[in-house]
Amino acid sequence: MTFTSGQRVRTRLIVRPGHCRLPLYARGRVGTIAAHRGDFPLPDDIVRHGSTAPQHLYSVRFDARQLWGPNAPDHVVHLDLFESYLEPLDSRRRP
Amino acid sequence: MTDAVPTPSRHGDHPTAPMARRIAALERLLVQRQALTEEQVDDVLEAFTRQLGAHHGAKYVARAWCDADFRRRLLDDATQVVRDCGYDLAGATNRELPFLNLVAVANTANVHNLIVCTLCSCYPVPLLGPQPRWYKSNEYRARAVREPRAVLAEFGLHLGPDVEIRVWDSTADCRYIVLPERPHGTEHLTENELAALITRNCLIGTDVPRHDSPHTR
Repeated sequence: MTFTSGQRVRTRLIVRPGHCRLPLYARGRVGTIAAHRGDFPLPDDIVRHGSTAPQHLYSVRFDARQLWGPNAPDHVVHLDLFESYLEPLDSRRRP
Repeated sequence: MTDAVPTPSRHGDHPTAPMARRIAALERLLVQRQALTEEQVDDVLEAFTRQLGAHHGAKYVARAWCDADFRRRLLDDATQVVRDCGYDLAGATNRELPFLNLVAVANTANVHNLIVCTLCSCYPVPLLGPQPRWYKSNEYRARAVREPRAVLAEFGLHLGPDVEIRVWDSTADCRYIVLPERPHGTEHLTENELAALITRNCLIGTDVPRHDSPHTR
């Protein structure tokens, strides 16, 4: 699905086996879509198949406390994440 | 528990000497087997040490400080601006490297931006030059997203508690460059003089441009 700026999303815990550009520290976390960066081939598939159809890439904003817990410092981290790494916050599926 | 971000030694020791010897041996072998020439190696070294570099990024920032329309275009679509202007603002160096997907992020009175690549060491090499060793270190990559304020303090940059620190983890195709705030008291400086205030660390976010006004000397 396509996400819109301001939409809250959750990153998946398990995306796919092998290479993935969703860092472990940001798995299963709630963030907000900040921008659509464009459409790019998915690196996870390039390493396996040599090419892939482009996928939406989003800048997603996370509060540090969402990433590191309630005692974390007060800063913000943006990650560039592919659509297949994300699901809507109100999804009823297990992460 | 956390290790300090490594900084360059002042005493000229070379912790990468074993790696440098291996690379020299590989180079000799490749040249001997005619897989490449010494001139090709020199051309690449020339590109990375002289042609590319933070002097390019600095010129982009200085122009953005002087030209409000350029600043707006840079923040809106930095990739297109570099496509139009070239890495060196003269259109001359676009063809040597794969093209840059660039995003410029602006510092304000209330926001300070910091760039990292936790997965490897991505950043806009054509505009900043090769990555410094500390940027590639496990310590920086782990701590920049976890405790950026403490990391910046170790670089000598102390930000007020009201300043939001925004860390950009370069996890995909985009490369990030910080557009710092213009220091006070620089209204009389030319664009070239302004560019001289902007270091590579200012473009990564571990420093800010500084200017000593003649009035304070």
